[in-house]
Amino acid sequence: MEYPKITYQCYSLIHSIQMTPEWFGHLTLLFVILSAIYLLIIFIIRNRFSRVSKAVADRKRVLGPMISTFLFYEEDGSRSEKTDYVQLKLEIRQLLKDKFNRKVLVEIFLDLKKDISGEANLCLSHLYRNLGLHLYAFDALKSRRWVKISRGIQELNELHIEEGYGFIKTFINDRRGVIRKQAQLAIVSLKHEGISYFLDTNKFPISEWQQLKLMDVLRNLKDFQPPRFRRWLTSKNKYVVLFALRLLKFYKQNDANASLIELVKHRNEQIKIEAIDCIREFCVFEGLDTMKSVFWRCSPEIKILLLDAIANLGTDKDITFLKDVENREFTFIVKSKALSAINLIRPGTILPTIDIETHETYTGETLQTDSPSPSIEQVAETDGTPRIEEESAEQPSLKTPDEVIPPESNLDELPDPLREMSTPFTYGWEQLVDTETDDTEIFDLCLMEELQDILAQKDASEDEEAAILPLEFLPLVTEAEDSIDDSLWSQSLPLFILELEIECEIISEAENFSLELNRLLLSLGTPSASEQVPSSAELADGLEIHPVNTHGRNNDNNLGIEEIQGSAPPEPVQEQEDHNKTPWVDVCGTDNEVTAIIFHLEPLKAPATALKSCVPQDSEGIATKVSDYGHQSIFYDFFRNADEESKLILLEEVLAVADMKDCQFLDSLEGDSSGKVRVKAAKIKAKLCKKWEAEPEYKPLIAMVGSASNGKGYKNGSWNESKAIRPDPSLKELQPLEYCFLNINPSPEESADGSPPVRITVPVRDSGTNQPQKE
Amino acid sequence: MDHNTQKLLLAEDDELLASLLYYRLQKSGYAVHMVHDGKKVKEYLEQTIPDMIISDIMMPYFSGIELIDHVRNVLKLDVPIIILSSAGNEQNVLSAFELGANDFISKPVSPSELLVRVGRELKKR
Repeated sequence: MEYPKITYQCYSLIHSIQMTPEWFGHLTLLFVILSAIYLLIIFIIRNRFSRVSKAVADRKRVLGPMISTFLFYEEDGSRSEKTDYVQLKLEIRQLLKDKFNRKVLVEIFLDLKKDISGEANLCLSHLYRNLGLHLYAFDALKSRRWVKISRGIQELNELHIEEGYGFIKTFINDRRGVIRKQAQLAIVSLKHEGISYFLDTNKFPISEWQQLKLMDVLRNLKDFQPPRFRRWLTSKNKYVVLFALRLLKFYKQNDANASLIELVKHRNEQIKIEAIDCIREFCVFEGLDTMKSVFWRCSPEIKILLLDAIANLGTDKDITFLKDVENREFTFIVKSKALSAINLIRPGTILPTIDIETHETYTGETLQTDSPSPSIEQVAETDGTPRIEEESAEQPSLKTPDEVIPPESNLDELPDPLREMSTPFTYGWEQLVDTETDDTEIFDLCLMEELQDILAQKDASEDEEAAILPLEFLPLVTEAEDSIDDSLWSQSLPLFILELEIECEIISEAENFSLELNRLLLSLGTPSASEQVPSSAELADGLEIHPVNTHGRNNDNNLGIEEIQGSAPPEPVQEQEDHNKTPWVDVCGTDNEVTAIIFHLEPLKAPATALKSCVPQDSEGIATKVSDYGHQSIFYDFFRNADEESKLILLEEVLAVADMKDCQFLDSLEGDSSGKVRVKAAKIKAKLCKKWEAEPEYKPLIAMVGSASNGKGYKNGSWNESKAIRPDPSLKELQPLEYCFLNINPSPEESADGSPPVRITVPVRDSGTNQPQKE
Repeated sequence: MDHNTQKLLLAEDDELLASLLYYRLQKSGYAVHMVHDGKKVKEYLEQTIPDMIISDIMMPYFSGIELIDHVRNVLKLDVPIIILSSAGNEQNVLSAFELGANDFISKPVSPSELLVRVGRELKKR
């Protein structure tokens, strides 16, 4: 036979077919016929399925009630019921001769077996057997078709026909997987000894899924007494060994320790893992040595399991092995596991070492070694406020454990909050951590600590004014005025506490102005206070509040102005005229009002000095006070530890939140080591003053700032040393709270040189109406 | 037992189970009306108010949950409702109870247990 040579000449044979209209017609017809045949086949098959399913459904509707009748038949029924039952039985016997009916009936039985429970479920199995359907299932087992065999096994299994056990067990090692698996499940389900037979005779692998299904079947068996599964740990089928190990663990059979230890040495990793799990589960301490010996030849996964088991079972003796693992092992997770195992056996043996910074050992500090904070009386002494003589000299300045604050008899009459502060109580650290400690005690403790700290600060800075202390945390005392003993206010209490309360109330309640003014005047009139606080006559040097009652405190809220005038000392009244003559102060007022003092900006020394008196004064003058105020700035602490860059950033923030204290603080920065900081501080200060300049109420403050800035005055947005406003030594100080009563407003009147005057008015109550009046 | 005066509505899409329960309930003396989908349940409820509804949760067209909602919130009926549900359908059962189901039976159903529950619920009325 000759084959044509494949050469390039063959390409000449390839040519396009000439398509004629006839060809198109033939091809179209062909495809139409093929499509029609295809659709016809689908239609026929679909119809057949539909017809069969409809026939099954129809037959089920017929057979279903019959099954229901059989299931719920009662022997003690009526005669007609019995007759019907017998006739139905004959009828169904006839139906069962038909294969289709049998098939439908079996389907009904299998469906109902899933849907009903209880007694009806058991009756269903009996009915299946009574109708002789199990015999047809046995016949199916003899078939050569695996579908029929499988369906027969399933019927017998689900309807629990124990007689089928002997037939089914022959399929346990069938080469066809579906039949084998069906048979395995059936024999385990039908009889309790089925599991033993299966494990004894199984030659094929048992898949994981099949193991799960078998265990599920075993779990649902009623009254199942599991055999000792250690018997199959010696099986030659490794799947049987594996399944037996899992069954051992599931049924917690801990009588196979020796076998388990041996199985740790098994080549199969799955078996090894299960054996290690069992050893750990059953606490087989004898297995520790074996686990250590096999450790080095295992995979990391097994090693981790081994270490986990050793950690659970091991003792201190095993720590050496674990440390050896930690040193010799290269795998990170195994090393890590070894360390955790050591810590599990002996907690705290291995401590974290990575990324741990070294610090000096804490030697321990006691509160006594620290410089003690000043006590209340020390603060009182430095403040110049009257000392409470009865106060115990042994009062502790700091709270140490088990410290007792001795009672102070004379403070018993104080207003409640203060009395509570001085109430003796014993407290120690045990009490502090005691959850049952009363909240009020804790509150008292905290309150005392806060107060002591503040007083200590006050002592350190040698402030004379307690009114500026940050005591906002103190509760507002709203006790009725009548309940307070007046004499105590002037004799027992430190002056600054009185002032604090007055300041707080004045700010919050304008209508109580008269009351607070009285209280202030009363405090001024106390002998000790008069030493510290300038008298009204002294005040008149700078501005005048007229009249002023400095002789005791009148508790009457409706105190008239005449009454006050009558008790006022004559000296200030005499001096009033002199001060009225000063070119920069105009005092306005009638008999029933206190005063209205007009300041002119040209000699702004007066208000500036007066406001300056808010700054604590001492013999060294203002310069020291500047730095003191600088210390009170919120920025002071930040700047202490800040670097240059941080300082520059902080300075930007000063502009937004600055007040007088911060301005003083800016002054103090002129001595900063960094030139940038110095320049920036000066700029910020200039901006600050510009900002304040725009607002009239800040003008005196600007002047004050200038006077407080070591002679560097501020003018036109810049600091002018030559124009510095210096304090007038002739002016006397006001107490800080007295400035709270002043309203500083620019007056439309102008002074001779054109500078706008500043009107400071003091509101007082009209004696008749008791209404506050302002001028 | 004669419960001829008490009408039960049995809504179950599985015809075989429905017929079994129908037979059992009818044999116990109840007048049972059996339907296999939610639509028919709705139609029946528009015409008749049964003494009790026994309903499967999973039904075509109109689930058991919707049926309870319809009965309680639309028809405003306080008819006892017993829910049939397969095991592992706890969320639906909880929803059913929240909507106003009176009782619940899990599948596979024990016909004897159902009878007891039906009798108890009807007694409560």
